Amino acid sequence: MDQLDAAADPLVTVDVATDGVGTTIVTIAGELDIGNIDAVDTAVAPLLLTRPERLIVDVGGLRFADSSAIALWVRWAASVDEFELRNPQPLLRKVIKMMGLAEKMELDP
Amino acid sequence: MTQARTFPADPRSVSAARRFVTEVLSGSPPELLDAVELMVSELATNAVGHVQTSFELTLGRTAQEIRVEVRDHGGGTPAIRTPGPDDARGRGLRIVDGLADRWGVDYDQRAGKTVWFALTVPEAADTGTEQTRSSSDEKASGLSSGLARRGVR
Repeated sequence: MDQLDAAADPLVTVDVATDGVGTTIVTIAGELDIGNIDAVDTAVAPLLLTRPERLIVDVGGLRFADSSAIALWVRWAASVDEFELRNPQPLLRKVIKMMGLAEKMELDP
Repeated sequence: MTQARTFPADPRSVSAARRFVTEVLSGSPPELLDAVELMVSELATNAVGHVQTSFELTLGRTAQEIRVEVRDHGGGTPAIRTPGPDDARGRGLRIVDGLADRWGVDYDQRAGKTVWFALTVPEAADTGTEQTRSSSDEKASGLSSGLARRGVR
């Protein structure tokens, strides 16, 4: 797993792993907001250029995310065939459902 | 209890505002605190991101409710937008609308506006048992809610 330099921001860490057959897992931990969203986006962008079929974003270790983060994931989802947001905290899960994005983010019911 | 702090027009003010929330409102029910933190993050983002102004965050807490005000010095009229699943932006105020018990916008004569929201603090009796709810003894009620918080029924 590579630790990306996005995490020049002290609030967030980003790790990426690829299985070699089309699935990329991005693991984001810490806090995501307007202050570090661009850095995270820039760090992950080269991966998205490789056009993975499936992108899994694991946010189990993400303590905080607001609509800036949701906006980022919506953009990422648009650049891959399949997108899954994995392990969101309860409030984030609730907000994503509230926004009508549960299906797009492949949330478990 | 009311506390206020002014934050500069800088994206880093958004996380600083959340820190202020968790400091000032520590001891509040965790679900409430998480919701307030998220809504403050949304309103602070609107201030520093869209209208690019400094903002003043005021946090008030009584036994009944938590009330939050975010005053900025920019123009514009906050509006709830309805983005489709593929739209990246426009969700901030919808989150406030979905999570707050009450919210609104106050405009004043000078340039600027205050977006406020309030959340009702669940009554202590609601976390107790049926027996406690029917009791008027304050001591019993306090003890029961204390136990309930520790998961004892």
